[in-house]
Amino acid sequence: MNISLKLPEQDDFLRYAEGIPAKNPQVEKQIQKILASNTEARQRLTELRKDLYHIESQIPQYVMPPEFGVELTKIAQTWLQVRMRKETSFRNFRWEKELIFILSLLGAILLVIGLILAKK
Amino acid sequence: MNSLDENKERVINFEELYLALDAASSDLYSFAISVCGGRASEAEALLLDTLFLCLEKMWFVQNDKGKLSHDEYREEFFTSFWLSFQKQAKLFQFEVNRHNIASEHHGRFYQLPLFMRASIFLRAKSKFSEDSISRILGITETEVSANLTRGRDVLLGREFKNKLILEDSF
Repeated sequence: MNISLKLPEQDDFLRYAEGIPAKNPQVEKQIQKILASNTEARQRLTELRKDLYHIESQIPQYVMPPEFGVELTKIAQTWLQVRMRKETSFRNFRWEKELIFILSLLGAILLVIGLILAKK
Repeated sequence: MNSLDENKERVINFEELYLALDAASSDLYSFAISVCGGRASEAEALLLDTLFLCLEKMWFVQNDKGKLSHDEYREEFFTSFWLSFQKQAKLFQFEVNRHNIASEHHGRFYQLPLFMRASIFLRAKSKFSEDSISRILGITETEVSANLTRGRDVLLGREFKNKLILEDSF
């Protein structure tokens, strides 16, 4: 049996420290195991997170003004309402499958009745 | 699947879409202002354009058969914004690199070149992966990594050391 065991790389640790989900969940589990068993790794993670916090604190975070937020919400809601109306309108009602089934069943019944009547 | 289940699924998708839109808008707001050099008026106009573009794209291109996950929609939203921003920047040729309002508080950040600033923001604040950032900004993953490394060093004021694993730990 071929078992390939790959240790997490530096970038995987960085991703973990930044809170970015790993592509492979197994990598995250491996990192957690390493951190659980290694004090030095835990200390380094704390240092790494401190640096990342220092970097993040220098990036501005702007809060959307309420009036602009309301405008955005209005647009989104109008769009969704129009789209919902389109989805639920009779013109777009999709029951082709059911209609074909009912029509073919009706056709078969009529054919049987026709054949019975023809025999009589 | 019967039609009732289909309708249920559609309603859930709409709700998800609305939540994604809501989350992405507030998330994108900060990014928009940061890349526009701290100028809200230009960023807000671009943001509204992007919203229209995204909604129309969903309507006409994706149509009702298209399904986008929360993350995909968010990425799509950022990509559309970046494209509109680049077009606008070319059209009006406004200086976005070293002119800003918020430079006193975020001086170092605003001194970074545009692509580096955008990469750092997308990574640190919006938590995008390298491949997502490369798709949003239209650059290679190597360029994204280089931007992130250099940007971190500048913001930290020293070399950013990512040495969590020690060889003697194993």
